[in-house]
Amino acid sequence: MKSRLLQLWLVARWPLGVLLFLYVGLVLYRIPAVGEKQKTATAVAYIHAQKITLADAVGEHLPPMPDVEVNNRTVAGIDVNQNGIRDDVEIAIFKAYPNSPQIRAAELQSAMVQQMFLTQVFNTETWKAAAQEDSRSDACIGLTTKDFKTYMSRTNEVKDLVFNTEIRKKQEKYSYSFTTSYGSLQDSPCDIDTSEL
Amino acid sequence: MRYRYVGALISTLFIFALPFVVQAACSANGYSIIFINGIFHTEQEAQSDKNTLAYILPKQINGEPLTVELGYNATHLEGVGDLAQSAFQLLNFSITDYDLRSILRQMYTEVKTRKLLLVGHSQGTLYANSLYSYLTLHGEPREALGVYNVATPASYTAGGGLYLTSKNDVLVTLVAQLAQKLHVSVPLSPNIDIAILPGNTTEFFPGHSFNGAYVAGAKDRIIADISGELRTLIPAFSLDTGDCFAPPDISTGDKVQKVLFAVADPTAAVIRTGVVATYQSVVFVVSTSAGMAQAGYAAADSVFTSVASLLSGPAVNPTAPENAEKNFAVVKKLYGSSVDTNSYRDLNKTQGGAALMALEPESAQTPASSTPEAISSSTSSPVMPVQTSATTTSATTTPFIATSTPVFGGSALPSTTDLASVASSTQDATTSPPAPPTPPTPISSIADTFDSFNLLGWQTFGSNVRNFEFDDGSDGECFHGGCVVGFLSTTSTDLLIPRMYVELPPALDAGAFTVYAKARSGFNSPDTQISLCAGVALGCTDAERINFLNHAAVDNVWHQYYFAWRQGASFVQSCVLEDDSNAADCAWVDTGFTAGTQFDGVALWSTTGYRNDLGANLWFDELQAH
Repeated sequence: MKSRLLQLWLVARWPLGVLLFLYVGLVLYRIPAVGEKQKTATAVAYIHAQKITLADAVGEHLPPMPDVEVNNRTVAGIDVNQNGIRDDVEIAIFKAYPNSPQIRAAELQSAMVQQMFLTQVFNTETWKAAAQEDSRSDACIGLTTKDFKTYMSRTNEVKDLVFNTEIRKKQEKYSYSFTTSYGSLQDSPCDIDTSEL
Repeated sequence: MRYRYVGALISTLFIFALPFVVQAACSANGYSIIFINGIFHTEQEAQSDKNTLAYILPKQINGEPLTVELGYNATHLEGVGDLAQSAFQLLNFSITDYDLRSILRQMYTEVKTRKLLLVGHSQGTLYANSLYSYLTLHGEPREALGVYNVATPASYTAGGGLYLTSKNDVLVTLVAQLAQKLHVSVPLSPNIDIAILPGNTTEFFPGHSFNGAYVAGAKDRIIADISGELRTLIPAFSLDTGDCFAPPDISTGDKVQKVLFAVADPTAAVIRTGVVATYQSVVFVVSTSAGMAQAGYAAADSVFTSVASLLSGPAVNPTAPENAEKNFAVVKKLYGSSVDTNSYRDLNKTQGGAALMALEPESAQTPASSTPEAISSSTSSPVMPVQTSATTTSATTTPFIATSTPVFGGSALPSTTDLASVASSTQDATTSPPAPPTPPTPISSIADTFDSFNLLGWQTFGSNVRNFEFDDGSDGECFHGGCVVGFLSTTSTDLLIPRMYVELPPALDAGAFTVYAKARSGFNSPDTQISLCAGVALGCTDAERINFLNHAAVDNVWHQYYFAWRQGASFVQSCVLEDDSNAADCAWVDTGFTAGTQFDGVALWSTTGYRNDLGANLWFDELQAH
């Protein structure tokens, strides 16, 4: 019995060796793709994890207005308080709605999402994640008004603030080149309960 | 032992070779809408249209959740591919099913409900019809499926669904005219009259866009139509298991087309950019070449004139009368705004340009008489002589020079070095060394119109504070003439608190003042406060102040405040009135200060910091003794 198994092994070892070799080759070939997949999974998780906080909405850590030239030098711009919302956009929203924390919260949420279109989207999966969050934030803005024109004006207002330079518009276009079909999230539209404000 | 390893290896290989299958659970509860966009839509517009549809529709139908999803109809070959595809679709043919199959495959994992409504817009309506056909042909029950088309060039709506086409939809009208000429199926007749809205007139096809025309003009109709269709859908299976529909396989044709579009679409974009750029260049050259000749002559003339004046004329003389206005601006900028045009002219006449440039800060030198609106109403105030460069103020001997705190003039006082460098930059001042300063003279009254810079407001108290700035009134914010303002520039973003106090030597047992204050709310609000200081030398601390205002109005309106103090039997008593300066109206109250305490300063301030760059601000004007 033992000798028969040995004979079988002597015959099968070469084909198995070839298979193993091919498998290792395939693994090596797939390493970049797997790396990309992991990178994508990390970015998608990051996009969905970004939420504004109550402190953001009430302006607890409101940043100073950044230097325009420095801020516009890069796609990402300046975000001193590191809340995911570009400082110039954050200030502009507070300036536009000093007395309405609900509208501020909704627009800040949208601003954070638009910023992710600039900084986090690099393939279809990441675009989809950002688009899902965009749908949520637009729906959150929708909760601040029943008037269609006002809704459109508020959603566009944020996009105009975020995509305000040529390099940012180009990056937005690049990001949207990954547009695909997608389904909406079932989560609550707003990151924070605006009734608390 | 060796065989065990071989077995493990084979098992591992086998496990890794297994495909991972994701099962999409399809629920009988809830409704899904797939919105399919049209051609010549940017990706952003497709996303925006889908979000708008979600915004206008109810969140629940028959008590079940409604979700809106995007079935993205990609644009190929910069729209040319879609135009050709649309033309064939209108003839009930199709060049390719690539997009249709892509949408189905992409939506397969996204659709989670059995009740499904396909909402198409423009060319998306042709896909909506095709998707309906595919789904019903692949076993999906018709009762659970519906189609609603907006701005449709199609001659029917699949499944007998509703549609909405405006009489003023320019694109659909064009397609209808074309179809009639070609004797092919014409689009469904318009069934609504939506006026082309102002924002929609500039579009390539006015009256056609989903958001700008249809939702803006017929939102309620769309809501009613879609809600009505959704309510009629019935799920054929009540179990929440299995897939919502069967996706098409990825064929070799799909793979080939994917590669082709991946190459052709960006190439088409580059070609279009090149064509547009070339076209624009040609238009530009043609339209500007005639004007360029004229402009060339004018430019040449200008250059020749400039060069000629440079070669023949004298160097620019800063003291020349024609430069007076420019020089005044510089001086005003450097030394504050109390240097008015009259005093400037007087100085220039008597001292010459060099003397002007060597002027020390106006606070220490401008005679009250030369600026009648300048400071105190008191006639006993000694005035400082106008100083030339020989008596330039030192930066080290008086507090107001030692600090570079902005004063009423609105700019930081230049240091000695600055002044020296300014002076040395002019021809006449280079030999004048800085002279020791003359200390500011005490002021016997604090009454101040704030119409110009003066010594009264240089002092601050507390920490994290800044001085008020001088507002010359040109912005229309002051009550009368000039005034003091927390932040003159709207770009200020620091959270320093504007505070100032003015000394009242000698300290007094009793007195009364009026002052005007205006507070404006922004993201936050200034907290206006008027106080009397019992010890300005000690910093007018909390323990040394009578604070008159608790909750001053923040309504962007000037209010006059009357505040007074007197010695009571045991305590100092105070009174404050708003928009009323009649002392007879005072309701005197005891303060915490024991009788006999004297007060030697008035503080005008905000108790909290505020965001001037977000609209908040605070002004004071017309401080008067009574």
